[in-house]
Amino acid sequence: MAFDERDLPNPLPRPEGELAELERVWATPKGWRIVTAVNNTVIGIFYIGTAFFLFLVAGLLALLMRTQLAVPENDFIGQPLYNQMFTVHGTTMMFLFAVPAVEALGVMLLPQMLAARDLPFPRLSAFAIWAYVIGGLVFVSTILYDLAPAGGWFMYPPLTLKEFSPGDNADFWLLGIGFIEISAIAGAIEIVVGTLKTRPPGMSLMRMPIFGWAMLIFAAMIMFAFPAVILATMMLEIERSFGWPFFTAAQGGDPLLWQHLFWFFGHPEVYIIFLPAAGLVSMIVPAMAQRPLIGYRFIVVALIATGFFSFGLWVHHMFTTGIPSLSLAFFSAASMAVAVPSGIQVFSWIATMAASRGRFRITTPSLFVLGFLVIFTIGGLTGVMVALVPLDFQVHDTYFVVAHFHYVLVGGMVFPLFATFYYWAPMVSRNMLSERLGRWVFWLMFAGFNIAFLPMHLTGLLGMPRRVWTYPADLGWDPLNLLSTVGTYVLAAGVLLFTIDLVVRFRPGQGQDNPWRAGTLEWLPNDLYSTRSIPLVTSREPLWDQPGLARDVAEGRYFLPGTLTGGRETLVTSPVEARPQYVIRMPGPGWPPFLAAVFMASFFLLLTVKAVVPAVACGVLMIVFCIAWAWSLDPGPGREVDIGGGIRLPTYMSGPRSHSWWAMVVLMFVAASLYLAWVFSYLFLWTVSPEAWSPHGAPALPAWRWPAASVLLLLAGSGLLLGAQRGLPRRGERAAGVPWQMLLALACLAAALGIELAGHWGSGLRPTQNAYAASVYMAVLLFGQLAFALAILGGFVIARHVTGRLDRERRVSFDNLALLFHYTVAQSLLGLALVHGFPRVVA
Amino acid sequence: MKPGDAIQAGDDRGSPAAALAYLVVGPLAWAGHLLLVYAPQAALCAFRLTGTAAVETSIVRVMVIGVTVLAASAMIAAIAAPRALARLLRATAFLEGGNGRFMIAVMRLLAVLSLAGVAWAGSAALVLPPCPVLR
Repeated sequence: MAFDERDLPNPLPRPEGELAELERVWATPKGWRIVTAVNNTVIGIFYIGTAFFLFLVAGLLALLMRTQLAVPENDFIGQPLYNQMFTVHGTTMMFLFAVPAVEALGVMLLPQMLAARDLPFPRLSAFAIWAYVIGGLVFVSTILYDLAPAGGWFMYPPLTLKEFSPGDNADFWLLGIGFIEISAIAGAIEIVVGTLKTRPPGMSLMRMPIFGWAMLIFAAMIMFAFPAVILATMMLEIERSFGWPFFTAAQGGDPLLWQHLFWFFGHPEVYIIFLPAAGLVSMIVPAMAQRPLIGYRFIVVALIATGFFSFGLWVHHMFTTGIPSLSLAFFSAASMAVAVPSGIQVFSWIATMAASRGRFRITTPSLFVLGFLVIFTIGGLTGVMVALVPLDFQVHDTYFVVAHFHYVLVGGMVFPLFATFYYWAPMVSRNMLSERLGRWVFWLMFAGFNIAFLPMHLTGLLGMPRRVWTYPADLGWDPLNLLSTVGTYVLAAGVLLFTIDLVVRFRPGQGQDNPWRAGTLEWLPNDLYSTRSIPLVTSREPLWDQPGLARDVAEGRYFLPGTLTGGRETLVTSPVEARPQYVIRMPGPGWPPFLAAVFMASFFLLLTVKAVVPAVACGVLMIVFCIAWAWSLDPGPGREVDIGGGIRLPTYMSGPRSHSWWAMVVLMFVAASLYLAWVFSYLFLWTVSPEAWSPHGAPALPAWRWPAASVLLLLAGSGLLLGAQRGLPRRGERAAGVPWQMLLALACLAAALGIELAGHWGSGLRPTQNAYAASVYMAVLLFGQLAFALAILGGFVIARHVTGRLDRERRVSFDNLALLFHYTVAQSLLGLALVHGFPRVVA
Repeated sequence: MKPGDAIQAGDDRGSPAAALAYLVVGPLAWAGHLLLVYAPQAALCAFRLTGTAAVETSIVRVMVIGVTVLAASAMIAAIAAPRALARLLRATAFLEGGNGRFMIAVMRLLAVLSLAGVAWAGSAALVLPPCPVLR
């Protein structure tokens, strides 16, 4: 249906009670029930608040470490505690502050920038946030009772193997951080689908705010980078707990495998943190310059190119590990090439400021942006220096590298974040933060940072290694270290002043009306329901180019001005051109996501301290609450609604148009990345120790009939599920055969898994035998993990059929089961071919 | 709202996957290039399959330069003939209307950057021996 009128989509006056109904539907729970809230602006504040608190804790640890290093031979902090402190500092800053903070900004700002009422899976956001809050706080608290890990934020084996790191300390990192990564992936799914499917009509990809692009690429990078470290943490934890020797050289393993997997995640991680921050800067600069961003296309190109190139740099963290020089050259080239798109962005921001012809306003956010430009550019330049292999040999593991990455990360993320606090606080707070104090905060932070970290370049060039808790006098390092410590205290004073300002002035509530005179949609008048109506967007800066837009939106003259289904809802549009497709009915506040997060955190943390029975009980409860949460979803077809302008849309969708289908596809990409990381590990370990492979270093593989039986069962399972799909009943009817077909399909999957396991076990192969055996059983474990998820999902879908909640139209849960099932079959077929075919080929 | 600001309900004009593939064809070629030069070179060096250093050098050089030329050619073709690429990927529908220039410009710029990355990495084979660590 087309809408093409001079008039706005909805007429005035609006029906009486329309706004009150919208307010009632989107109301936030009061008192202690606030934890059940799912509105993005409410949980976004919890999210950012927790991330900022953890930033303060990690910053305090840094202050203590710098105090220890202020003078040589200091005994303020002993070596064991110092090791724990730098590990918790790095881990917290990277995993518990930087990524969650930018993800939180995505949750908080994206729906506002896209004029969506909320992200498409509000309960998933709430689940991810509470899992992070609980897990993050528990992890950080381990420093208080000597349970913190001490292996550095990268946890290299063999130092972190049980033999060299006994106790539960390393497990807190492996299990604690591992499940927080799951939370990050949940957030990424939300952001990908939200950015692609909930933009306002007319906001095609070429009109999307740069922050939307940045978050889309950020989330895509999480999808491909995080699975590598999740696999690595699984493997290291399994080796520590059960002795599967992935990383033990004496049994065919290799500690370098950890480094490959960790840095395949770890280097993109830097850009995962930087790109959203760059996106924020790309929003602030035009507002302060009062003109559109120069080089929008170039910035989009730079963001995409950085996202790709960042996956080709991981080996530059391993230049000193003995890799052939030609390999190093490939990664050195990519490491330098990635500076080009970053440079494009810097020039674009500078050009925008210059083109404003003196109108660029020097406010606190602008100061932080300018500080970011200076600091990040220095960090980028030293980045190009360490991308040069010979220089990297020289400065590897010295304070030069510490200086470099702090310039990149603090310059590239912390300064933009503070700019963001000052710039966007008025969107969700009744007061703006203080401009006068803000300038003090900026200058203290800018001066303190440079006093602390600029000398470290020299300290490093003079040979001071990283991660030492003290150093002898008279090596020329003393004055530089003292200066760095003084700078750290100045920096901390700036952060303290900001915290005081925040406590005094930040009051969540109705925001200000566009105090910066910006052009993007988050400055439309908004409330808990986001904007009163969803605008039609015709340019990149709608508030500048569409006169009267704010008034018309607030009066409800655009799309979806009230609630048409009596509940929470938002508009779904097509991913490229943003054409209206349907209206999502979204769930409201509820306990299940909160309780599922509590029990998931409990499951992992109890497992860490080897309290297996309570951990399993918590795991079961987590599943129960996930099921309770999912049961209320998939409401089935409802009536069509008129969103305005004569456009009538359905209120239910299944198949490739549905946001749920997209989420499952994103999840499949995550699973595929995890599996490809395993394929890489398997082949890498073979290059390291081919002598451990079957049939020479391990029992002969099971006869062909074993994998052949698994293949047949897998294909039969897929066929049965396709049959069930065709047999889905009409609305209001039942199809007796469908649940049996689903059960049989699941049984086929379980049998294929059992046969694969029995085949290897029967051949005499044991996972503790060597790295080859461990890799083979890891494939079985990854298969089993998906089979377990499918068993639960299958049981859920069968229950929906039995209770009359599944038919040809109301079928989202079935579609999700089918997608994951067929993916699992494809993954398992690849695994069977590799595990049973490769050793025979190379034997 | 300005006259002529039309909004059509329904699906995009083509497949979103085709649009995505079209935009990132350059970076995909860059990623393929990195995989195809690094993995075989690392494996060849790990096993010393060829026996002699001279043969090894020749094989790796030819392989790296060959893959580089292939990847670079693909990118140059994409830059030179964006509409032919769109036809190949079934993304022509997105080149109509206001998005077209944006799509072509982004695809071309990404291909140019990727081309630089490919040439940068591939040229290393001309000056470095394939397997020694050199330190």
